[in-house]
Amino acid sequence: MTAVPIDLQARIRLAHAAVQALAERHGIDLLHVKGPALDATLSRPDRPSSDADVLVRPAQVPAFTRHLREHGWRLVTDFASGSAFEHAANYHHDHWGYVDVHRVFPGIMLDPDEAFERLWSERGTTLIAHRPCPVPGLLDQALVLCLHAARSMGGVRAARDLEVAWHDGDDDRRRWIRERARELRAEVALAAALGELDQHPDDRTAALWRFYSEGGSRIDEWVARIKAAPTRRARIGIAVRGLGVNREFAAMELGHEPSRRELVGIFFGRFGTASRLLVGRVTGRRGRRT
Amino acid sequence: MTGYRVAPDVAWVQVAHTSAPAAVAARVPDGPPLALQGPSAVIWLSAVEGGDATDVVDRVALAAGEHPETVEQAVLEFLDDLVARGLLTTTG
Repeated sequence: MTAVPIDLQARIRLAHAAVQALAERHGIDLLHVKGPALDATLSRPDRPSSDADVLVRPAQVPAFTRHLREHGWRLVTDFASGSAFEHAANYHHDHWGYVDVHRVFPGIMLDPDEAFERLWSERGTTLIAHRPCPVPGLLDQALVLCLHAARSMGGVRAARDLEVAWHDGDDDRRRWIRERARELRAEVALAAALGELDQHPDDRTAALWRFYSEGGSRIDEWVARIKAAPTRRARIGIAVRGLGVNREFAAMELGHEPSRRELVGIFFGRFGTASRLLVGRVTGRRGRRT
Repeated sequence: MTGYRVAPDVAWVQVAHTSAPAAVAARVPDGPPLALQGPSAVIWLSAVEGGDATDVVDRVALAAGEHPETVEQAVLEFLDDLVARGLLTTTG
């Protein structure tokens, strides 16, 4: 017997199997997505994975991540810092490598628990590392590929995914995907993938999806995220986080833990006219000339 | 005659695109994974097909282009090791 390094793609398959075994042991519902979980008709050999992806029933995410930690998985990136969508946390295990634990799919706006239930109700099973793993139904997999392509800034891989999931399908498949996107409230993200965002001019998330599907500057992203925020409070939170008012620094200056109001004040104080111009851009007002 | 099969808590992968046969097997969820290459991978891949020790020895001998008697001892010892690691279970 010879000790050899473990092939990355084999390790990712074992990661899926390890996570599935953990889920079964603790009664956790999860769906394996992308990479080796993809149906053969949607996967491409030239698209290797770098980690294992799973979607966990949202209500069970805290319990599941606790079980992960108890079994040697170490948190690398939490939900809040993982992406603008705060959709996934990343964990690493010395044996199995990386797993992305999704609590939602970016683009699906339906209540996360309800969305998971709908995906779960149509699930199938695929063998990964010779272990049966629950996966979304074939057409849900195609939709997920489309939604993923919608936030890939027009990359080559995204275009190929879209080709397999959408363009290579027949009219029935495309009709079903559109209907499913409506059901899951993912029409805008799907429109972004398909270059149809102009059909959603009034949607508050359209600018964000345009940024993620086509690219743009950091300012474009920041403005789009503010527009997409559902409440005024959320908009202020994004404004503050996005331009990096440092809470610890503010506390030192103020001599106490800063309130949200104080953080906003510091933010506008720091960025002055530039901030007003940007806020004007967000709200559609023009900055006053001085 | 003793038979072999993959233990119920084991995941395994045959590694593609390698010059020599290769596979990785592990008990899940905790591992550790065992990387198998060359003769050890041939024995594993022969064992997971099922059957008894004679079947496994014959498959390995065929793959190696040797007489079963030549490889029998090494194959049986390695099968015992895989059982001890909890990767295979015995039947019969």
